[in-house]
Amino acid sequence: MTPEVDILQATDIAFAYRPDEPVLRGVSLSAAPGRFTCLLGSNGSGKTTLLRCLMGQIEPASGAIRLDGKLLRDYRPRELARMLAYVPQLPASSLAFSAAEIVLMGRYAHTGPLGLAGPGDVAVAREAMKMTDTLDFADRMLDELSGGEAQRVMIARALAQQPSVILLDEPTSHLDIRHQLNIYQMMRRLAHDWPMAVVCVSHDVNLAARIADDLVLMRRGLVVAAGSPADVIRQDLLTQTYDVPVDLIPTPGDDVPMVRAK
Amino acid sequence: MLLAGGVLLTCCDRAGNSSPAAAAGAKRVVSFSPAITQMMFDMGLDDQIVGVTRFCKLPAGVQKPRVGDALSFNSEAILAVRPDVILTQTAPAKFQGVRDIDGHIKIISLRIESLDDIPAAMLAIGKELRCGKIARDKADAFGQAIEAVEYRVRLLPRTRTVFVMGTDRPIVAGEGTFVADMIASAGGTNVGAVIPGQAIWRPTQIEAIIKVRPDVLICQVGLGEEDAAKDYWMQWKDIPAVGAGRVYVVSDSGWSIPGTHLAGLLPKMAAMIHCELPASGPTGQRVGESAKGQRS
Amino acid sequence: MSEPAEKPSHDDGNLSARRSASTSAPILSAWRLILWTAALLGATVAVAVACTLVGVIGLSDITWEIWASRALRMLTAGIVGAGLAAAGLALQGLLRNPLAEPYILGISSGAGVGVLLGMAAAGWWAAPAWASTPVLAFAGASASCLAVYLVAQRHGRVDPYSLILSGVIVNTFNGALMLAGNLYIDRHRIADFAYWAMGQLPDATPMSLLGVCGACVAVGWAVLLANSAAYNVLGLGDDVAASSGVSVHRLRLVTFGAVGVMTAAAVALAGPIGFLGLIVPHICRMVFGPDHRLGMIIAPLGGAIFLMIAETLCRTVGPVVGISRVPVGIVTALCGGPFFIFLLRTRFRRAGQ
Repeated sequence: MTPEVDILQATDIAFAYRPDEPVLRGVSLSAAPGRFTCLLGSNGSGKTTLLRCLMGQIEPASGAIRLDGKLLRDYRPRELARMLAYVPQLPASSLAFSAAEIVLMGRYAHTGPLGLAGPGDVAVAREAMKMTDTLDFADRMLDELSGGEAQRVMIARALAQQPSVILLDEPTSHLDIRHQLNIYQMMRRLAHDWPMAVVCVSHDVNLAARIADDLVLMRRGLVVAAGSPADVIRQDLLTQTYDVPVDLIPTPGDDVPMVRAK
Repeated sequence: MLLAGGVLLTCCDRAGNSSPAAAAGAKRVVSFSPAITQMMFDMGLDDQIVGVTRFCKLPAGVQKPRVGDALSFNSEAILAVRPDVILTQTAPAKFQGVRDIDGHIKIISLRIESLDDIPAAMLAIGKELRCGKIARDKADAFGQAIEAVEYRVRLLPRTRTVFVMGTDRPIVAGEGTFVADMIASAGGTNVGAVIPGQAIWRPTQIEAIIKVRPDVLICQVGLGEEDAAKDYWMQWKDIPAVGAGRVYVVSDSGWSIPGTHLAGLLPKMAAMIHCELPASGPTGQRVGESAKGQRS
Repeated sequence: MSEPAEKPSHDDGNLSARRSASTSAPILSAWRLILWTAALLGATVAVAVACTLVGVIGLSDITWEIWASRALRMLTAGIVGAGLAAAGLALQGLLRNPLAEPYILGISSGAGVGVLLGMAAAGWWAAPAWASTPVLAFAGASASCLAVYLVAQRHGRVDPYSLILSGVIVNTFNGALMLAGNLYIDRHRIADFAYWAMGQLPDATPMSLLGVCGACVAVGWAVLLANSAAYNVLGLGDDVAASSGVSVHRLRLVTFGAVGVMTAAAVALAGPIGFLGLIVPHICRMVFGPDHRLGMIIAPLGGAIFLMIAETLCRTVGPVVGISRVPVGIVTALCGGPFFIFLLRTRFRRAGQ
C-alpha cells in the first residue's frame, strides 16, 4: 500500500475512555480504494473504538487521521459525509420509512434545505440499490424486511452518500451464514467495482480471511499484524491475537486455512 | 409555693399581650380571618385579640402576634398565645388538633358571605365575648348605614350593574355574594347573577359580560394596575357602560373583603350607580367622562 | 417517562406508526409539500373564520368589535397551537421518544414560578406596568429552560438522556417552589394563579405581546422546518446521522433553543395548555407518516386548528352547561387520557398481530 494511493490514513492513534485505561495505544492503519480491509481481534481489542476514531465520532488523544490528505477534524460534517460513510451493526430502529426513503436519506449531505430529492439524487439512490440488490423492496417498510435485507438497505444508504470510504461495524454478527457470505461478497465487490476503500470490523475470522483483501489483527489496543490473509493467518499471530491456542486446518480449494480455537 | 407559682405565671405570660384588660378575665381571642379581625377592631374589642393571621390588616402602629393562616396552619403557634376562643370562617374541624391539646378552647365558625352575614357575625361575636350591647349597637349602626343608602335610592330606577374582578380573565360577583347584596342595596340590579356559572364568584368571558349589557361596570384590580385596566375596558365599546363612560376602576382590596367597612363603601357604590347623588362624589377612577355626567 | 432507546429496538412504538395509506408511499417531492401546505393553510383559515362566527353573542347581535376580538383570539389560539405542536414534534424527533413534549424542558413549570413570584411580590412591591403576567411567564419559562440546559450540558453539549433527566429535576424543583410560593400569596390571588395554571386564552391580548410572541413562534418554526430533514436522518441513530452529515450536537442545541423560545411564547400568551404538544404530533404521524418535513408543516397547522376549535367549544358549550368560561386547558387535558388509552390499545393490537 503506497501512501499516495491510501485515501484513509491513521497514524499512531491513542485513545482512552478513562484516564488510566487506554483502549488504543498507538495504532496505525491505512486503507486504499479498491481494497476490502477487515479489522479482527478479540473483544476489548479496541477495533470498534478505532472505527469510531476513523469516523470522526471520537477525537483521538494523540495521533492523526487523514482523509484524502486532509486532517479528519478539519472536515465540516457535510463535507466529511461526502467522503466517508458508516454502516452500524444493527439496522436502524423501526421506522415507518420505506427502503427507498431510507436510502435517499443518504443524500442528506448532497441535497439542499429540507433534503428534497432531485432527479440526480433519485438516480444515485437507484444505482446504490441496484448494487446492493435491494431494488425489489424499494417500497417496503424497513421493519418488514429480514435482517439481511435491512442491512443491505443500510449499505445502500451509505453508498448513496457517494463516499470514497465505507466503514462497517460487524455488519453481519446477527445474520445467518448465507446472508453473512452474501454481504461480505458484496463488500468486496463494492470495493473493487466502485472503487472504494471498505474497512469492516469483523467478528468472524474465517469469513474475513476468505473474502477480504487485507486483514489487520489487533490486541489490547495495538496492531499485531497487518497484511494479506496469506501473510497474516499464521498460528502464532492468531494465538497472540485471540489469547487462545488455535489450530489451522487446511481447506482444499482455498489458499487460506480455516482457523479453529483448540 | 406561692413564689414558685408566681414565677411560673410570669414565665408563661410570654404571649406578648401587653394590655391589662387581658389579665382582667376577659377572654383571649384568636381571629383566624381578616374580616373578623376588622370587625373586632371596629367593636373596640381589639384588647382581647391575642393572635391574628398573616393577612389580617391591623391599624397603623398596632402589633399583634401572627399565628399563621389557612395555608400555613400551626397549632403550636396558636397554642402559644393561650387563646380561649378561636373565631374563624372555615370549618371548625380544622382546629381539632388544637382542641385535642387544650379542650377548653372554643372554636366558633362564622359564615360571612352575604351582607346580612356581617351583622349576624357581629352579634355572634358579641354573644360569645359577652359584650352583646356593643355588638348590637355596632350591628344596628351597620344596618342603619345600609338602610340609609337604601332609603336614599329607593325612588331611583334600578341600574344594570356588574362587579368584575380582573380584566382579561374576569371574575364576576354572582348571586349570594355580599357585593351582589350591596348592588341591590345601592339601587342597582346585579346582572352578574344572570351570567352562567356555578360558583358565586364566577369566572366568565367578555362576551358574556357584553351580553348582559351592564350600564355600570365596577372593576377591581390590584394596586398599580388601574391605568392598564382603564385602557382595557375602553376597547369594548359594545358594553353600554363603556359607551356612557360609566366604568369605575377601584384598587382598594376592601371591595372584595366582607367587613363593617362595607358600610362606608356602600355610599360610594350608590354614587357610582346613580351618578347624580350629591353625597361623596364617585371615587375610584372614572373612565371616559361623558359630557353630561349622567347615566344613560 | 421512559428513557429514550439508544439501542435500536424493534418494539419502539414511537416512529413505527403505520401510515393509513398503503405501504407503497411516494417519495416526498417539493410539489407534494407545497400542495399539503396550501391545503392545510386553507383549512386553518376556513376554521378560523368559522370559529369567529360562533360565540355567546349571536350572529344577529354581533358587532364589528366583537367579531374583531374573536378573530384576534383565533389568531392567538393559532399561534399557541402551532407553537406547541411544532415544538412537540421537534422534541419527539430529536429525542426519539414518543412521550417527549415541550413541557419536559421545564418550561411550563418555570412560567408558573415566574407568575407566582410576581403575585407573591405584588403584596409588597407595586409591580411596574410591563411586569404583567405574560412577561413574568415568559421570563420564568426562559430562565427555567436555561437552567435545564446548564444542568444537562457537558462541555457545551447535551444528549437526550441527560436532557430529559435534567428536565425532570428542574420541573420537580419548580414544583416545590410553586408549592412554597403559595404560602406567600394573598389568598385572594391564589385562585388567580390556579385559573392561570389551567391554561386558557384571555379575552383580549395586547397587540404588542401578540406581536412578540407571534414572532417568536414564527422564527422558531422556521428554524425547526429548516432542520426537518435532519430529524428524519436522526431516526437512524446518532452515529449514522453524524456520518450522513448531520451535526448532531448543533442540531440538539438549535432545537432546544427554538423549542424553548416557542414554548415560552405560547405559555406567555395562554398559560400552560397541556397535551397539545404531545397529542397533535402523534396524530400527525399516524395519518401522514413519520417524515418530519411534511410533519413540520402539518403538525403546527393541525395544532392551530385543534386549539381554535377547542377554544370555540369552550366558550360556546360552557354557558350551555352552566359554566361561563371553561379554560381550554381543561379540554386538552381531558383529551389526554383517552388519547393515551388509544395509543396503548393500538400498541397491544399491533403487538398481538
